[in-house]
Amino acid sequence: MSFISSARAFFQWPDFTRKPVFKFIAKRTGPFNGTVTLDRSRVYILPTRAGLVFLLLLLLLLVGSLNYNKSLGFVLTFILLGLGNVILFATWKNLAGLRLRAGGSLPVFAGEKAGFAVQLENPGAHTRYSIAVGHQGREYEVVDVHGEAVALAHFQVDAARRGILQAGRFRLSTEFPAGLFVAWTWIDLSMQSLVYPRPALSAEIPVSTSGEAGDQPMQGAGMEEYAGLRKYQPGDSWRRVAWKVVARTDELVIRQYHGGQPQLQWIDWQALAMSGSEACLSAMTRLVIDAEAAGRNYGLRLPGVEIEPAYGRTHYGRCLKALALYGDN
Amino acid sequence: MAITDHKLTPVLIGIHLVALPMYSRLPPYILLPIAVLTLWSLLIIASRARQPKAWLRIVLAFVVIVALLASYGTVFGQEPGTAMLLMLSFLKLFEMKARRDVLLVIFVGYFLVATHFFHSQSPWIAAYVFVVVIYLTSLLIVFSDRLASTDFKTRMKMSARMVLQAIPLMLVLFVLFPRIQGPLWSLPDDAKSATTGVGDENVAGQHQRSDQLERGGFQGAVQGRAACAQRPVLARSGAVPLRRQNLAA
Repeated sequence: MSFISSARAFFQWPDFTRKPVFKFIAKRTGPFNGTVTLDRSRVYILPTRAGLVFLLLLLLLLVGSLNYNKSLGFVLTFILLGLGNVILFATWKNLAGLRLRAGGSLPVFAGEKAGFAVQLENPGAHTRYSIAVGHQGREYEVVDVHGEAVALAHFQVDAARRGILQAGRFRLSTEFPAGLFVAWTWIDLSMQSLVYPRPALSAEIPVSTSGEAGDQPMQGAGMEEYAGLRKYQPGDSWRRVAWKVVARTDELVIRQYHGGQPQLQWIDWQALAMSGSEACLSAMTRLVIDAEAAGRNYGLRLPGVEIEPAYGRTHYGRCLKALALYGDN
Repeated sequence: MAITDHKLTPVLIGIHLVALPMYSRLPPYILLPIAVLTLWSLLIIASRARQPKAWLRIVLAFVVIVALLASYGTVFGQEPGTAMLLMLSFLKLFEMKARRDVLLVIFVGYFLVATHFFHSQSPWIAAYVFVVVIYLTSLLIVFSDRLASTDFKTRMKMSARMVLQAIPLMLVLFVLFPRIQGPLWSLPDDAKSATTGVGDENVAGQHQRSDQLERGGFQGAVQGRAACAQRPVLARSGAVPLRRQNLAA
């Protein structure tokens, strides 16, 4: 496989496509938006090491047939040569003609791996077997794509820094049906994932905070008084869902408490006053996670951004997104 | 990719299919180890036991060499070479680590089916080899189908279709490919031999095989009194199946 892997390294060289000579490669591999059909110009094929050994076998058989002058020896040699040829086309056709679309990706925290999905659509009638998806020289998943069907192939990218993570170029490859040839392609479908800042291990809100938070009487969760049930609304915390009731009635309801307002908290860039904006963003991320987990009402203040106090998944996502994209325009 | 046991059974069957036409002419010292190795690998497959340790495989390799030497007196040449490749294929079953090991066995299988043509070029053997090639190709599919989502029937169909698609190119090449009259180089001593005969030099045991063959390598009618004196010499060499009527003449 050394030949293949060196070819792989060649195509993954980051500066590769910036050189004007190799612009044609860039044109073929993307980035693309929407659906990309793997056509002739995008599918590459080379023999594997097993394929080279097969070629050697053919040579041996040919020499043997010539030497002993056996007609059937020639027949066998040429059938195997023809077979190699058929396999070459079959391997190529196993990949060529596929239609690719970007699948979704979920936001992750920096330091985690961002998962991406690619939709592989097979417009033909025959199943395409054993198609592998890889990224950065690592193989992540092998899928079969049935005729006139769509399969999802997943791969992961290290999310090192907060912000928008570009998935970049990934590799689809197949050796089916014989392992004598490997057909592959490099495609960039402009897939991106949102990367939240890496949460600090722990963070404390400074005791004295601005206005509203101080006015709010401190109330622990235990002080609240149960007030009844109401229907779930998008944005409600999952922690308050009355699961026992849900199990009984099949209706999604949440518990309501008197003592009413959950504790209000401002997560404020100014108040934290930490050195280094990244460290500050990390701490704020930790505070947002903790506040959401505790079911508190929390708001976010960044220079130039203010998010009104609220709670629930949507609000949580909004706050983290603001932290992730802070400073990027 | 680890080779799981259930994938080894088709390979074992494949080697036997390749070797089937040879079994009638292989000597007992070769057939016996083949039977033992087959039973052993079946046992490993059935009991999901581990493959034998490295030292045991080395011992097995020695046994194979000894069996070859005992049967042929050498490991070189057409017949011993074929037998050796066959036995090594069986041995390889005990040392399957990666896909390339299996592919090697399959390739050796492709090679071994060609050696049938040394002995017969009948349409039957041609048809048999054709079927075996389809089977061997289906093994290639087994080991490139990484999710194991094809079944036997699907694989055989795909394989047969591919081999049939190879026929047009075969025909073209068969007609157009230049043939060289005579051998490529002057070496193949075994091209027309591998039957029997008396060499220039006489070595003890060299002619042992000659009297096993039904058709005599050398037959001569010995005439006259003078010829009778040679009898003990020829009889000692064991090369000539002397017949009573020859001597009586």
